[in-house]
Amino acid sequence: MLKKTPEKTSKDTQAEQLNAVLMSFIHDIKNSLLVSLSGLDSLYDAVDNLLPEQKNSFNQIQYELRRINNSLIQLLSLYKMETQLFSIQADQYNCYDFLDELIISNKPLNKQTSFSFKLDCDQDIEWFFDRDLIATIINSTINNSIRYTHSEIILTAKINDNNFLEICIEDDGDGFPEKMFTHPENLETVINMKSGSTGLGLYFAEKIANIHQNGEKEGTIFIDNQSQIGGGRFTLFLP
Amino acid sequence: MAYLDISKLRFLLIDDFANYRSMLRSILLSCGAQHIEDVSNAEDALELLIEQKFDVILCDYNLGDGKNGQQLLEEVMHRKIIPYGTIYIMVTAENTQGMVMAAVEYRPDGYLNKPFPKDLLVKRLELLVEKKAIMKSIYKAYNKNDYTKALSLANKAMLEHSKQALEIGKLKGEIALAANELDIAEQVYDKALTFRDFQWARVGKAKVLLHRQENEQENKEQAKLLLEAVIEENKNYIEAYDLLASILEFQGKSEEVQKILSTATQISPNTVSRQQHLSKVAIENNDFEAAENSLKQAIRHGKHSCFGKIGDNMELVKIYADNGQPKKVVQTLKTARASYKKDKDAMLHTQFVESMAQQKLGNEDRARELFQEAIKKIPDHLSELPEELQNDLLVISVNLGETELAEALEEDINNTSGTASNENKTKKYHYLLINGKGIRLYEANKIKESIPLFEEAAQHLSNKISVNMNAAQALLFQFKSSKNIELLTKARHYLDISQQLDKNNEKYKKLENIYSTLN
Repeated sequence: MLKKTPEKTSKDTQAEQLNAVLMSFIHDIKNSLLVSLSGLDSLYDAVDNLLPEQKNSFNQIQYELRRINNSLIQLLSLYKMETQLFSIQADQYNCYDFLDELIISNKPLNKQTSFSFKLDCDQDIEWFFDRDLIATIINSTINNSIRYTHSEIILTAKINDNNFLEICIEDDGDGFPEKMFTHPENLETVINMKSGSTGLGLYFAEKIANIHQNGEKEGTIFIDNQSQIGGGRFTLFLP
Repeated sequence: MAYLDISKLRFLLIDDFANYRSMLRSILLSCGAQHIEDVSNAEDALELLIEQKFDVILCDYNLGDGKNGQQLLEEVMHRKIIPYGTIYIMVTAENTQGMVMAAVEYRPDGYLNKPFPKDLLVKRLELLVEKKAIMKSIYKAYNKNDYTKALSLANKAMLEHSKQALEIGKLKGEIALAANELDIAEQVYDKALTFRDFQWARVGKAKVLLHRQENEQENKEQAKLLLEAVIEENKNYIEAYDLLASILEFQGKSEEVQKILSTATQISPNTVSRQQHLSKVAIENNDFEAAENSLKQAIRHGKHSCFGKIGDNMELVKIYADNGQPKKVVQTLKTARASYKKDKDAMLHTQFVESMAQQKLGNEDRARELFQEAIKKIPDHLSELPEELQNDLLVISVNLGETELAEALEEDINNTSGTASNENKTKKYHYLLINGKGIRLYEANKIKESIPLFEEAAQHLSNKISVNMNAAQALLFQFKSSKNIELLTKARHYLDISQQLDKNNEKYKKLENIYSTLN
């Protein structure tokens, strides 16, 4: 009787090889993005007398490039999480400095845009998390808020009554669409949702939050439209 | 926040992409920087860093073919090329530090993911300059081994800078451990643990337990539990593996040591010293496959690292020779010679190990030939040669039966004072080799043929009693059968010299006895 196992193994290695190829392509694309983003930066600095709508086009291009970049990082991170030796690199960070840096990194080129950033966080909150992973979540959320907000984005961070670090990103846009309130449970439902990278982004955020653990407690995310300034609200809880 | 004057800082940019270097340069210029140097690879960077002082190093992780950013960092820190005050920022193309970097011993001051806006760079620099300013005096005292001062500075800093208190606490724990102030260290870690279940604090507690002299067995067992729990939580906490390995080594569980180190090297394959450690353990365990593997890794990653050494190549040669793989022996030697062609000591090392390998492969004559050639090239400063070369030199001398030469070599290796540096070592070794040849003939019962060799050696090594006694012994033995009186006269001559050198020597006394019965 013929056994089918060898065939299966070769298919497995094929899949692995394909994955590796995909990942190296992603790295490649990211390099191009990097040059594009920096190029856009210097181009913006170099040209004077831009009309307001031209300035806004710069912002738009920057938004899209950053969005691609964030999505690629999420993909890379998800891939790494599937590999065997993944564990989170939690370390201690000053929360204010961390969020302040993220705001700086996400400021749009055209600083005279109609909206403002506000950071509300005590200067001496120190917390324990994987800087890169959490930054990836917050970067995507901020970038998304920049796209949909009208006049304001507020970042707040505090230690709540249950002793979780609660990081909240709010805007005064139109809020999240209804369909996003159901959290995708696994990758399969993400694919079925056909909502593109938004679904993937939430799945990613949830997963990253979950692997942050402290004793019995586990991190989580929450989205709603109960923003104090009227738009969408994304909250990340870290134990 | 202290105002930061960027125009006063000296920057060094290291990136293999010319495009990105000029991009970074323009970012820095627009921040007000005035002193900027840039290079495209680690080797050039090293040269500049030795020559000049920089305040900030912005280094890309990926630097093409040579050393990468991490290896450069390791080298400048290991060789103490940059002072503590220098800020080293690693620039990465994506968030890889979790996977690649957390698993290493030397960490940069910060990471920046490309692309970063100029404001972020400025903000980062402000924070790092501030932090360095706080920690600098503590590190300075610590590096001078002035632990008392370092600890008191740390205490003061913790009070004044609550924001950095935990960071300073971490350092304080390290200093207390170095000072063997175990109670202070334990206090630091216990206090940190009241805030949170920090992995570093638990590892710190394990270290305290490992330092304690009393209840050694029990403490080691307890430390083991702490470390295992940390690893369970964070598979990438490499230091915990190393500590665990040291405990298992103490307990004599060499198979488990190998297992732990092999897991650690899978996570962090480019740490050369750990691969070297693993190969040693694997050789002890007779697991040659694992040893081969880790040595190959050590050689591969050591190529651009300051921790790479010819000894790894040599161990691999020995393994192949032991397993009867002559082709691999030749190939490995060839690669080693290509990598270390400018290093005289290393080249000499390859010759001795080649000789060793030929003997193992059963080519005794070739081994001897190589050995004799190599012996001629031994430099005067034997005591300063790398330890591995010294060891291999002695081992091969003994293996080839050159015991008297081995003794002389060992003496010269241990003679660090250099008092005997006037004597001609090459000449000494040459005649000891002739003496060795004589011994082989003598032992093969070719007494007559051995005599001229012993005599030649003895004439040139009149200060070596063993050589003179050898000559006397062979002459006396030959006299027994040939009864040629001239032999006896000659033997008397060498016995006289031996007597002058050490009249209480046991062998000498025996030879005198034989002489008197024959006379």
